[in-house]
Amino acid sequence: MKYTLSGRWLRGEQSARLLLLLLPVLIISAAFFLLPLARLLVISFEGDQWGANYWQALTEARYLSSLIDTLLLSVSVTLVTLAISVVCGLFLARNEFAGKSLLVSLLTFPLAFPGVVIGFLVIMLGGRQGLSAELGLMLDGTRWTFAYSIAGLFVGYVYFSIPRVLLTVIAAAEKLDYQLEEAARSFGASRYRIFRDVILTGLKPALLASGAICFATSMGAFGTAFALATDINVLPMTIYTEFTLGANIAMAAALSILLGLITWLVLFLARMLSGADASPAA
Amino acid sequence: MKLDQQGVSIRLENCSKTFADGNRALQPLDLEIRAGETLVLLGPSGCGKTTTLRMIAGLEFPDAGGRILFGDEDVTRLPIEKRQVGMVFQSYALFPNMSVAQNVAYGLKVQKCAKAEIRQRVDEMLQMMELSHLAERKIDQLSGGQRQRVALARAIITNPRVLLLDEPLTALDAILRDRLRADIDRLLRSLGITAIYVTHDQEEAMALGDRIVVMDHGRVAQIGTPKQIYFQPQSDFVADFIGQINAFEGEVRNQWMTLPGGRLHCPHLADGEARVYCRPEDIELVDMDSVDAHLQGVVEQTQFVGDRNRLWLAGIMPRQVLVESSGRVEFAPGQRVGIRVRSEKMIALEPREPIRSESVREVSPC
Repeated sequence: MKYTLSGRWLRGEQSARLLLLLLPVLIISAAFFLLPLARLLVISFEGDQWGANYWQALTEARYLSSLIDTLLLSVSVTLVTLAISVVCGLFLARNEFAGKSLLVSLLTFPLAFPGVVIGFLVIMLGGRQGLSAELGLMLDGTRWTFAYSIAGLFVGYVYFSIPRVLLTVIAAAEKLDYQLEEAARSFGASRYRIFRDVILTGLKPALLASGAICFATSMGAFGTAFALATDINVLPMTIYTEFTLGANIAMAAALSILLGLITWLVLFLARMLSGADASPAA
Repeated sequence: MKLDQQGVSIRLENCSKTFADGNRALQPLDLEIRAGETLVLLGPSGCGKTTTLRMIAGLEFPDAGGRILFGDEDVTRLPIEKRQVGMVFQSYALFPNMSVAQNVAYGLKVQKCAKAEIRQRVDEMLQMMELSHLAERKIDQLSGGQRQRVALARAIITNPRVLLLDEPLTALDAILRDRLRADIDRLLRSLGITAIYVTHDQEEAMALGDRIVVMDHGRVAQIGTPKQIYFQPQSDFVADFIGQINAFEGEVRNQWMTLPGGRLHCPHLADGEARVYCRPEDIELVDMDSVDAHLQGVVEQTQFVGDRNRLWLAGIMPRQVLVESSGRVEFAPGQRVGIRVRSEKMIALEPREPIRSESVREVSPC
């Protein structure tokens, strides 16, 4: 009898061969992921008292505020990016015009930049010598700067998050069944109602998936924050500082684990929600 | 169940449709649909039937000069939201995130009916459509036929002024299609609603329509009852498109048309070039030695379809002649048979219809 991969049983020699094929990926993930992670976990519990680092991370103002700021920043970046991308994506999916493909490729341009370059771009715009500073000097004699505050981070993060979400939204919007909207219209549904009941529900799986990715990227983004050297300490920056300047490796490990856990949890929830949406329990 | 609001009559006046790319999908069209009538728009793809339906729905608007009236109300410029129409789409367009009951309730919810009333009317509708046991199911857990019934229920629960059905059975398999066709027919009769039904399937059109509008290349080819369309087609196109038909063409002299396989008695035709049509089931097979065997041919191909045999005969006309006989009689390819066509079963086209030149060429081999 033959069994496929989806079957429940594999014959002895087959499973041996399969194991052999899986070996490279097992070695790589063990060497570069599982082992360091285990080590990280062990380090994070080092110290006078068991779990003291975590307790400190969640109670001491310095760490807690870094954690909360990063969370708030990532959530707001995700929401704003989703809103912009839905509007943009729907427009791009439904309208044909000259230069459309050029526009789409421009909008997806940030994908090509590392975070540091995005940080530079934000400084060019909102830094002390930036465009908005020049404009401020001209208008009311003060330099308008926002690059080094949380606003600068926000702008940079939204900028590099848009392409990831936008491409997914365009693809999903092109697959929306136009007749659903016509059916809703036949009952006299308003445009808002159609947007809520038909379009947004149709885009929901795509929004959940790309929103989760956007959130995870924002939580872990380092280059932009580093380039901007902001007065806000996002969590990756705090980890970096603890590790290199404070040499507080145990604390850095605990914060890393926390960052990983939160991000993983959000990705997991998003997958569960979109999975539940796509195939309801029979 | 009768709807609270009886269907309206609909009138299209001089409605043409040119799309943005300059393509004229519909030539100026005048159409009158009686209140409570089921009108079928029938034709091959690209004939303008769907465009006509979408104009009545308010999803497309006619070119300048066209008018659409629901009863006495001019709805030409009203969008679909304000026309109170019910629509059933080819893909059903059911809301995938909602249950069966929520789908059926949607129209009432949008129209802000009271909660209790919605529940009662949805219950009644589900019961009438035999969907009660599926009320809580999601759409992707339904079969094609069930989805079809949900789509119908959703469209009629709001008491629309007209029900518009766009090829609603095309996505289903043949057996289901037959059964649902009967269901839809019964439903439309019992509701007494004005219904416009688009299809490319002539059997479906015959079974459902009070009247059929046969369309071709953006024009109306013929409007009539199914029987008129079938037995008195007014053009080559209609005769060919509806069912199967044989054409006999030749020179008529003294009531007899001369054909390659013999002669055909045409007492109703004057002398000269002429053409008559005849349905396969109206041609009689007769013994070769009978005096009635005016036309003789050779069986070229046979097909047994249960209740009847279909025989393709060569030698009578340049093109094969299709004849049907009882399924119990055996015929073999190569066998010679005689046929007779009674003049009262012949379909003669209106004289204004010119004979197509390419058909004439087939007759005279020079």
